[in-house]
Amino acid sequence: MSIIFILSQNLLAQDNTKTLLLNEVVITASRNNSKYYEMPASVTVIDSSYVSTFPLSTIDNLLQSIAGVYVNRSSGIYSKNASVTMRGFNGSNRVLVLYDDLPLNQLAGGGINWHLFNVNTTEKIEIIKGANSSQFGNNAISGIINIKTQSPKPGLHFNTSMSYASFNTYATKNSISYNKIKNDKGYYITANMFYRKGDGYYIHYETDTTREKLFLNEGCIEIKYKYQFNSKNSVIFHYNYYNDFRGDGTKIYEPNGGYYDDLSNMFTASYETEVKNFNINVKAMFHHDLYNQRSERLNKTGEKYKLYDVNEITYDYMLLVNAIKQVNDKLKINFGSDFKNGILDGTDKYYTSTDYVERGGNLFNFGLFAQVESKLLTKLNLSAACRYDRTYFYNGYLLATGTTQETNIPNNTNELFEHTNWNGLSPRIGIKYFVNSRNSTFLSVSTGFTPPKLDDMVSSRKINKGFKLANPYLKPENVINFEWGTTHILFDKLHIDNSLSFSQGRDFHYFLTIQPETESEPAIFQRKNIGKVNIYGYEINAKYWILSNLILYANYSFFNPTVTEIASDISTDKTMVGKKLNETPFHQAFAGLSYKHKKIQGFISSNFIGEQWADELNTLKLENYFTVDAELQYNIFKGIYINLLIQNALNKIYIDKKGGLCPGRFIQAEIGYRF
Amino acid sequence: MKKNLFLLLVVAISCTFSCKKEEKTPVNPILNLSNETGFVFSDTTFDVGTSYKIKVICNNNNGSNLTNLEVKLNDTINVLNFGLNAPYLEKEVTITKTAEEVDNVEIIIRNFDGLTATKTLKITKKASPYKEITFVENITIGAQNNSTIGAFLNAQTGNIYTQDDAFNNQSLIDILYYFNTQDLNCLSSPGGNITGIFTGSTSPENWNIKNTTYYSRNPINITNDEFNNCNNDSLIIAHIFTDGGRKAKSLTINQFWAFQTHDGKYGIMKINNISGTNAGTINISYKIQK
Repeated sequence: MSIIFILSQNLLAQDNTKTLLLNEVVITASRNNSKYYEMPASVTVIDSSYVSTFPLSTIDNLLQSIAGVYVNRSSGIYSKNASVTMRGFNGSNRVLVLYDDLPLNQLAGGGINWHLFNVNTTEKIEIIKGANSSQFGNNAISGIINIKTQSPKPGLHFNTSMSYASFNTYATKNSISYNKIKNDKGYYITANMFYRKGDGYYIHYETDTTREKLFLNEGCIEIKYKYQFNSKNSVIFHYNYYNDFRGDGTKIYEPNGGYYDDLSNMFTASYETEVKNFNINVKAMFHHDLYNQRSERLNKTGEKYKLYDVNEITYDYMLLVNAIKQVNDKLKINFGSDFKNGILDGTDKYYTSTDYVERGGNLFNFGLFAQVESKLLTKLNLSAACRYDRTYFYNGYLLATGTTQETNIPNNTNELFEHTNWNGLSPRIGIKYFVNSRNSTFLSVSTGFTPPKLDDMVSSRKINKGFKLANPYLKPENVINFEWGTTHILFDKLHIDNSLSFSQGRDFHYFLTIQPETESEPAIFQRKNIGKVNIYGYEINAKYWILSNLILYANYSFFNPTVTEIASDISTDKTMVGKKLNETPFHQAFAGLSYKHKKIQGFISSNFIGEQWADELNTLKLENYFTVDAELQYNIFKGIYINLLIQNALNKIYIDKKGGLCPGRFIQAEIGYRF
Repeated sequence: MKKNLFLLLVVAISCTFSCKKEEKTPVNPILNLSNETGFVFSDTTFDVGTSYKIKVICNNNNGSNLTNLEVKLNDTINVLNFGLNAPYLEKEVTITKTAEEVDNVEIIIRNFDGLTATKTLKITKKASPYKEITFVENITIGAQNNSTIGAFLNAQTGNIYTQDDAFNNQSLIDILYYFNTQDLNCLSSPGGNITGIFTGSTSPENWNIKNTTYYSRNPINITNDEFNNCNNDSLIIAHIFTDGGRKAKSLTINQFWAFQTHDGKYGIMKINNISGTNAGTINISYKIQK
């Protein structure tokens, strides 16, 4: 089994080997509360100690230190969002993200808003790599990331801090919590608030009059309440609010230039009980997102000006039921069911022409699953699961009036798309063999299933590289993953694990060029089921305890994703065969050193991101780059602390796929008080 | 204490996120057409093909900025779709009178709120002393020995005929093309007394109907622009000849020739291209009275 387990300082005081082998850490992302060391899969756990010392400004910064995970946040905190992909697959919709065990990927766009996660309240992150739709279904094509929020310490606690950073960025974080749970009875409530504002930086080389800094104005509120009835019954309510307003780097006539304005409300509730030795969990989630994008552009000659708005409202709600039973020492079973409904309603209003487009639709997903974990022999563990999914696409529409060459949609389009549905079966089986107390190996075969994104089915709209046409005939994408991994503990201080994997994506969703760009017309793209994609890869992780509180981390990963077959019904772009998937680096490496002491703690890390293709046709290659980050925190006196964060310390200016520049060195100083 | 801290947090959050945008009351923009000399500002008449200008003057009426100016012709032709983001706009637009009896010109200015102001002009076709013409562009005629492209032309339709087909449609043939060392590249007609050029029983010498077309004695002196912009028979009438010949000989590229078909229709042709052999081709464009 491939495991990096980042231990807390308390655990470090114990015997390392014992800790590594006997740690009872539970991986709830498995939906079976599996113990991490028993799972026949590549699993990584980031705990609160790692979160608190790592040099990060957003939660996704942590993930860039994990082998096989690629985080694209090229403008740092000024990025509109982060894109987190895994194991050579591109597209953030191919990673399933859970928030306290609840799937968060929106059915409309498939991705998630990484700004929703609060750095201060993250307790740990579980990462299960490889295709894994056997528990949660959709999106688990390349892996699962589960973000777990913390429970407050007993009593009343307060934390406030202010920070100032590069680009005139200032922020404040405030939290208050009260925990009155005693003897498995009582309640806790915690409230967090975060606000950040900054002038930003110029993302383009040219600084003509149409360019503006990527400014930022964001805030979030998070409230969590738990009531514990007794040791077996509890209920948790969790609310997240996030609002941001950020520039897109252009300003021509509009007072704020082009901008993104996103307002997100998410409410979750969970109830946990025990009935006849079944541990039962019922969870519900409602997520509402209001997205507004204003774009203004001037062509190269300065003659043609364009101004348009994109407005999207999405709703996602789900209900999830899960039952787990430890039958005996050797057998654990669980089963459950869930449904999720996603709604998209979008409009594109072009002010500088007469085009007006309305688009939307619904996706409904229902799933049933069952899973067993069994200790077949003293040294052999078996895990098997299977899930059935049924997904419905309905109420899809695309309406367009007053259209011109701006949108390329026929005028008076009034398309009501045909209802359709798909079935998916996602089995998984894995075995793990313990050679001895220090060495183990696993073998697994797993599958992934994801239906098309609503946006790809119903939205004909402008995208960064041109114009995208709706494809209501998209089918689901499937992946099968074969993996072999080993874990070794050497000299009681060195932990090494590695894995070899091969994945094959079928009916793979990928952008095809329908019409290349001309002098007067933008390129036109459409998402299609292109055929097969093969990805083989290798990753190795190492962790070395130099001292009990001085730890060295290192990892390397290589993934080679290739389009191997184009579907027979696709008449164009046969030349795609042999091309590599874009926006996914072939090589990645990470090294970091952490130190933790009562008064002072710090982390220095370095990241290497290898070359990658920026486009589907492999005509533009992005260069590799290397960055160094560091964070140092010093506890001054009775709860007062200062924190210094430096990201991209070597000031490496790299370029993203759209030709935008990264912000370079980012320095943040913070002072805070907690009790 | 706990309660106060919580209230403080709520107040701080409320202050942070409460902000109100100042919004303008939606009002329609104002649209006017300039009455300066040289600009059309009311219903009028023009000859077909005449270009005329309008000058649009708009302002936002103290409302939201102007964002789009659209000028449509007869509800189908988009003359202009101009994007802007400004409180004021002054823009000149050139439009050409179509062959329609009445052209409807619709000028619409839109503001950010989607509110509009509109003006409509009716441009009527001017009763003209000149007649309509037929324009045949870039037509290729084969020489007498060209086995793929015919040498015979119907001037009104622009249709080309092979020798056998022409024989069967003798009344339709106005013009023929041949090359020989005496006349070089030459346009003539079945009535042009052409002998020894075309062979066989279907050669024009054996036809019953021999239409005659007359050509100006020499190339005429007009410019490409004059030829291209000619939308009625005014230019043709200006080059009517009285002593034409039955052949236009020694043709060269870029020459203009006046001609008259057997039914009295006058025309002007331009020599676009010539290959210059008895199996070669000639490419011409011409305008002829309907």
